[in-house]
Amino acid sequence: MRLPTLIFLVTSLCSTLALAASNTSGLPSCVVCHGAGVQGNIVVQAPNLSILPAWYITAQLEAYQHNWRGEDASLADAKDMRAVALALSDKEREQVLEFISAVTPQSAKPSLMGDISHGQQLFSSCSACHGDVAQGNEALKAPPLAGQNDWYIVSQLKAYQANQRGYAKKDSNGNMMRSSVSLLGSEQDILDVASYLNSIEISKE
Amino acid sequence: MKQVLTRRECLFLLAKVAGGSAAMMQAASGLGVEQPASTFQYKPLYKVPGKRPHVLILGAGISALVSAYELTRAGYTCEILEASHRVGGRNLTVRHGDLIDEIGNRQICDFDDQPNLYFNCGPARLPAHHHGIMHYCKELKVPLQMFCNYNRNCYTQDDVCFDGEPVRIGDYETDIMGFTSEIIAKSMTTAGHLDSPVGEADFERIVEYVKVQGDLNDAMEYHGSGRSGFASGGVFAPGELKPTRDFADLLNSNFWAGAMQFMHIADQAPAMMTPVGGMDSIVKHFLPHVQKLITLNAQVQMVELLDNGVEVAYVHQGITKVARGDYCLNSIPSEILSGIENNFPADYSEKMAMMKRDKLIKFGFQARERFWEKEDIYAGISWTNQDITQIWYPEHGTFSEKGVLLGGYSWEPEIVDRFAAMSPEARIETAISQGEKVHPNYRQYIEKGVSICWHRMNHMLGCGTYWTPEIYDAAFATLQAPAKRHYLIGDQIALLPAWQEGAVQSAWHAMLDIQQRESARSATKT
Repeated sequence: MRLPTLIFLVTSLCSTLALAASNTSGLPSCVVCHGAGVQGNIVVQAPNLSILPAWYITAQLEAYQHNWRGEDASLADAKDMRAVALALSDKEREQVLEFISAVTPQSAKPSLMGDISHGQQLFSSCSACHGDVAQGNEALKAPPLAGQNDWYIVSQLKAYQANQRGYAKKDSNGNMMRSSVSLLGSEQDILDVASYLNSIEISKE
Repeated sequence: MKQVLTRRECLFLLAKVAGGSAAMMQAASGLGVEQPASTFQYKPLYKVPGKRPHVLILGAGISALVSAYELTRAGYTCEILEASHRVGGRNLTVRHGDLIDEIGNRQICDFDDQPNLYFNCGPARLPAHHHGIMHYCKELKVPLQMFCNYNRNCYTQDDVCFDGEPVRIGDYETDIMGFTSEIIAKSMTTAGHLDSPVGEADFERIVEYVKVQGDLNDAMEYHGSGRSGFASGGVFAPGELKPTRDFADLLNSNFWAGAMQFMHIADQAPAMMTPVGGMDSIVKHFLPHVQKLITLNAQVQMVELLDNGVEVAYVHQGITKVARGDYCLNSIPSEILSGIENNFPADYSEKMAMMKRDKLIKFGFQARERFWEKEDIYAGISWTNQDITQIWYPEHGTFSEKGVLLGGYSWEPEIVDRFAAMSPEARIETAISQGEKVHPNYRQYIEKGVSICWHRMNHMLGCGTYWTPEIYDAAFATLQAPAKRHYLIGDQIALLPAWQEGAVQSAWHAMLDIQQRESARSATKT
């Protein structure tokens, strides 16, 4: 049978995963929503974590803890995530990061039909921060976007536009992104960029 | 002559009046149009001929327990992999010390350690016509008692009428039926009958019907009724009628549009049953037959359909293991299954992703004193337009010291989202303060509480599947049919969202299909 890649890792990590952060099976609770390979699950609106580096996940867990994300009443899914971020102890967070870092990154399944080549053109104005192939740039705190769920890119760009993300004064990286979304004018542009990002062959770190 | 309204037109009107909210739509379905009849008739599976096929069952809720129980009796071998720490799925009764495994908000139930202090977090009632689950209660000798969904001594509370004061359901219903009957009778006895679709003799019967329905006097007027009890007297002196409520206030309340119709919903109609000692009594009665087949804390990571079976990778205590079955009955909730690696046909996966699941929150409160009994309430449901929506009083433990009541039950997504976003303490505090509108001294009696937010529960992520007509037409048949040797089971694959009957019948649907395949297989051999 095809053994999923993550399974080897689970076996090696099990000794370090404390029960508190994990399901009693030995896996962290992340996998229930984000998928068995934390590759994202559109049905519960959980994004692909497998492509994300530890520094970015840390920053976002903190953003949830500070209420920089998920504040708006309409963002029920983000509130679900906020509860998890608040419940994680420092040790549990480390274990989660260790788990996700060890998972093989995989591209999310595409769900939208944007114009990939137009998206690629548009992305040239994003690449200064996010990297030529959207591989991310830790120095600039710009996350990798290659292989991310297209629907998630769309929802987050819209959240920035609607002032539902990047609004907090202390969230300087979020502020930066919020002011940058104006580069994408139309709904179609957002869709095209999302489809492009989803389609990029991924590389982690 | 005017057209008589069809039932569907009535439904439409009711939904329109009720503002089209999900709750009211649900209530409106009680007119009987949408209720599927239970077709369940128990007939054991045949003894499987020849080699004993192995059936892999994913999840350990009611559909899984029924499957393992029946299949092993017919000679199949079974194994059940359950991701969580417990058996029962959404059949969850909590008591002292039990873990409520909400992601991001683990709670330990701190009710006193007493047998009557329990709370049914999931299913809590059994309709008489749910023949599948009732069959297993009978077969496994699960002791049942009456469950009370409708008690005229309970309250309706609505901020928009009666100055927000709670009103006894009996008072409300008697008055609104009286006043509306008076109007109908008057309009019928003036010019109305010219439009009547019935003959003169029947017409008189209808007028009489309206009189009886509203308890009108001979002048066809409503001036109160002993049906709501007396203000005074009634034992040694004639009873004094209570003053009637203001008709405009009665109409302003939304009670008539939704909650008042609740007990007319076929699945909610009296008399209903519930297991003595908690709904999980059903699970406990299955366990002696199937316990040795169950592996808890076994989280499925991959499902692979093969030509002659199904293979599953799962993690148990940190170790990856593989299990293989000739068939697989899968009750993993569709939303979670969508995130598990698989090789399902594209069409099957796409349709599975269409399934939408309800959000639902329940509150269980321990009361230091059974204050409701002092208000002549021994069971039943009060209704309020506060977010908590309902308060249920236990039908068990009458006159004992303490009791566990249901302090809130909400199913409107916006309401559930509001509660979900709160800290556990804030949820309880909010539910108590809302309950004070129904029982002014509520706070002094509530000692402890738990909240069960089903869409955040670990390994669940939701409640019943909400099949819209569009999603049903597009996806149901595909998902009910096997994908190779893989079958979806659970209440998720029946039109009885969150009813255990759906779980039982879905299991039987799959098992009968397997039986047919096995019969065909053995026939070709001989």
